[in-house]
Formats: sequence, C-alpha cells, structure tokens
Amino acid sequence: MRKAGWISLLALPFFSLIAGPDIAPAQSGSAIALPDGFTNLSVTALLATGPDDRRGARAMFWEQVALLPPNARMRVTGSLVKMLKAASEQRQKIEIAATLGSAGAPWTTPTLNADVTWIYSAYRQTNNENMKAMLDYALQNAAGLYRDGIHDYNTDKLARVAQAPAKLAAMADKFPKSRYAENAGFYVGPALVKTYLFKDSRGIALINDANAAFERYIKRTENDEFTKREYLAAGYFFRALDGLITGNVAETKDWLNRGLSKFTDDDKIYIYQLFPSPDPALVLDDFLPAHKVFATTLRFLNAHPNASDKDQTQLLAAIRTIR
Amino acid sequence: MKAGKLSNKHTKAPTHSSAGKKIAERSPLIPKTLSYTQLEFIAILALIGIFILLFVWFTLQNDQRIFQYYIFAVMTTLVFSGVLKAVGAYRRAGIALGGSIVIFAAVLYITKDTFEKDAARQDTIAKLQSTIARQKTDNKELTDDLASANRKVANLLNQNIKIFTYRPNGKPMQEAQVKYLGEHGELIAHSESNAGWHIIPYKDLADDTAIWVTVDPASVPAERRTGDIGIDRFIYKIKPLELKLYLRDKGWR
Repeated sequence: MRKAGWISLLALPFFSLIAGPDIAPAQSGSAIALPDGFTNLSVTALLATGPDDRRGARAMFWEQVALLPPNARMRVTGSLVKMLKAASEQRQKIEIAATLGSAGAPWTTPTLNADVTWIYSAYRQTNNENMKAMLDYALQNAAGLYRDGIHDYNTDKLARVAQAPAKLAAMADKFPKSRYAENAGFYVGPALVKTYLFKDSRGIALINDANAAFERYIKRTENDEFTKREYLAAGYFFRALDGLITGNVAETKDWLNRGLSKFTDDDKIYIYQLFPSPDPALVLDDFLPAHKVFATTLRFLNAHPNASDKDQTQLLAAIRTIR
Repeated sequence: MKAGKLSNKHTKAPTHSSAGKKIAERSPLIPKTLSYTQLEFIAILALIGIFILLFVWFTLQNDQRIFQYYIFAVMTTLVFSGVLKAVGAYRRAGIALGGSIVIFAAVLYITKDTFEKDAARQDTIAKLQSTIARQKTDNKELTDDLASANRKVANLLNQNIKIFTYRPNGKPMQEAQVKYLGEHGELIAHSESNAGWHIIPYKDLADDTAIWVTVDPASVPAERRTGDIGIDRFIYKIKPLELKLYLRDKGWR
C-alpha cells in the first residue's frame, strides 16, 4: 500500500503538468514555476519511495519526462539541476544526482555548460565519497559527455559514431578528474578508428587523428592527469594496431615493443574486437594478460611481415590462444 | 529462689531425712521416700541447665528438630517433676518415677500434633526456600543467558556487512558496484575492487534498507552492457556477516 501510494504520487506532478490549465508557453511567468513544482513534488515522492522501488521510481520519473515536449523536458531537467544546487540536505542532493545519472537518455538543460561545470566543481569540492560518486554519475550522463559518447560509439550508424569522438574528448578534456575521464580519453581513439572503418568521408586522416588521440591519452595517463589508468596497456596496444590499418608494420612493432617492456601479465587489456566490424565471429570480448598480448602479436607480425587489418581473423586466432 | 527456700526447708526436716534412711535400708536401689537436699536441687538445676543448653544447641541446628523436641519434652518433664517434688507431691521414688513417665508421655501426647505440624511446616518452608533458592539460581542463569544472547544478537546486528563480488570462476568482479540505501540516501559501499569486496557499515544502514549490485559504468568497457547483473550463486555467512555473490552477465566469463 505504501509503495503503491508513493509511486502513484510520482504520477501526480506529471498529470498536473500535462493536464493543468497552466501548461502554458515556456516563456510565460506561470510556466516557469511549473517545472519547479513538478520536480519538487517528484523529488519528494522519490525520497519517500521505499528502497525496493527507488530505482523503479526514478525510471518512472524519466518515463514521464520523456513524454513531455522537448522544451518542457529540458525545463524540468533544468529545474532538477537547480534543485540539486539549492538542496541543503545530503540525501536530497544524492537522490537528485542519482536521478540525473540514471536518466535513460543523456540529460540536458537550458544552461547545460554552466550546469555541468557546477556539478564538476561540486564534485571536486566534496570530500564525501558517496556524494562524489553520485555527482560524477550525474555528470557523465549529461548530453555531450561520456555516456552520450559511448552510446554513439556503440551504434552501427556512421552519423552517430562520428559524433562520439568529440563527446568523449569533451569529457576527458573538461573534467579530467572524473572517474569517467580516463575511459573517455581512451575511447576517443577507438571511436575515430571506428568512424574511419565505417567509411567516413574524412578517410585516412581519421587514423592520424586516432593516433594523436591515443598518444595524447597515453601521455596524459602517464602524467597522472586522470584518477586511474585502467586502459593504459590497451592504449599502447590499439595505438600499435593503427599501424596495420595504414600499412606501417614497423610502427606497429615499435609500439608493441614499448608495451612489451612496460607491462606485465598482471596488467590486462580488454579486447572486444581488434578492429570494429559487424562480424560476430570477430568478437573476442575478454580481458587478457598484457605482456602475452604484446608478445603474441609481435610473434604474429614476425611471421606475417605484410599483415594488415584485413588479417585480423588470423591475428585474433593467435590471440585467442592466450586464454 | 523460691524453689531454693523450699528445698532448704525440706532438707532441714528431720522426719524426711530419717524416713529416707528407712526406705534406703529397705531398697538400696530405689528409695521409698525422697529428700530434697541442696545437692539434689543443684543437680536438677544443672540438669535443667544442660537440657536448656542442649535445647538451644539443637535449636541452632536446623536439622535436629526431633532431638530438640525430645529435649524439650524431657526438660518440661524435669521442670514439672521438680515443681511437683518441690510442692511435696512426690513423696516416694516410685511415684516420682511414674509421675515423670506420665508427665513425659503427657507432654509428648499433647505436643505431638503441634510438633508434627511444625515439623511439616518447617519441611514445607525448607522445601520452599530450597525451591526459591533454586529458582533464583535458575533465574540468574536465565538472565545471564538472556544477556549473553542479547549481546550476541547485538553483535550480530551491529556487524558491518561484507559483500564479495566474484565471477562464477571465483575471480573478483572488479566492475561490480554495491549500492545501498542509507540514512543519507543512496550510498555506494566502500570497496576494494581488486579483492572484490565491499563494506557496508552497520551505522549507515536505514531501517528499511535495500542493497543492490550494479556494474560501475566507469569500470566497464564501453562495448559491454552496463545493465543489471545476475547471481550465479551466493554464500551467506552469519559470523562474520558476509555475503559472497558469484555474478554473471551475458558475455561475461
């Protein structure tokens, strides 16, 4: 009874927003108050929802928001961020941040840049680990940042894949101390490679950009600009593979040798595919010991001096033996 | 003192003394008439004193009531006999002996019921006291047990919860993130991701808390799904409070 009561309460602000006489143009004074009332009531309902249903209640909130016209949607999210800034209670702040982080689609507000900058600033200032994690979670889900970029990267549509590098780079460059910045910094390179392999009109220049992105990521990671270095070995490995696309095997070997001397088998490299491809047979999807990956790939290239990205089936077969 | 005066008067009566000699001459064992000499008076007093002491001693010994009773009867007989002798009711030894037996029997007869009732009452009291003492001991043991159980329950409830997140092959699942609802809202358990454990402090838990495991989107490769994960199996330990989760997701090994 309690659950149902509070969950249904979530629907009240929604109906009051869409069915009420005040669903006026965004510019009117009364319409500005509406999203605030909606979000206030929604957040109150979310906080009152029991733990079993909290996540479901957040999803329901976003489903309701998704039904609104785009302008209203943005104003509601803006109101939510405004409430996050104004909240004095920790639990309220955490709940709003968690709600922003769990939005199904990247959230956006009329003042997105200022809002994400404020969230990042609050994230840097707080010493509360939970608050930090939740603010970071909210930040990475903002439009044009990490999760948005990853969603683009994971699609098979060139138009969207091509948008991924800029979003990931924005996350890595603007918010380097976010836990998602290192991931974003690394995935700029693979996103550019994928864009190239999906036949973007910019052609081979994308691989040069990818090389620069990988090298920049490696340099920044080694300079401890990020909070972690989980993809460093992968950075060396995938930077090396770019040489196979451009036909520069010597460059590939050079990067593999650097990786070989730098990493041990305690370091792991996650390999989904060697080169993006729609062929499910080319999916590896595994964490492998870094030293063995470098050594195996070098052995393969020594045996196949003219190898290219077209030979990925054979190279993948060699790498599969590491398991 | 009155008895003393009487005894002095009797000891001075020459007729009694000469009559006693005659009886003694007839029967050396039991004299026919009794004289009440000072020595006899002192002897009776001494006997009464001894019996009083015995009576007091047996009274102090809670478990010697039968002897206490007999001493009381003997002492009463002695007192009565002494009084009867003093007032001159006993003039001959046979009467004194018979009278004493009658008095002793009468005392026994009259007080027997009272004694038995008293004895029964004393037994009941003793049994009740024993029962009370035993129950006190039992109660103390129960209280101690209860306090110990309370402490154990409190210790159990006050434990921090340690959750291990492993892959089905037993290796730590570093991407797993344990969240829970605390007094201050949704919280992330402190973790050592390389070891695969996560700690939820008892003091942080809300009354109606919930704990859930998700994939940390910052720790999972972009190509992998970051949705919910399934439990392959779990091990639940009470002491120390540990939950070992063996988790899997599509594509995870």
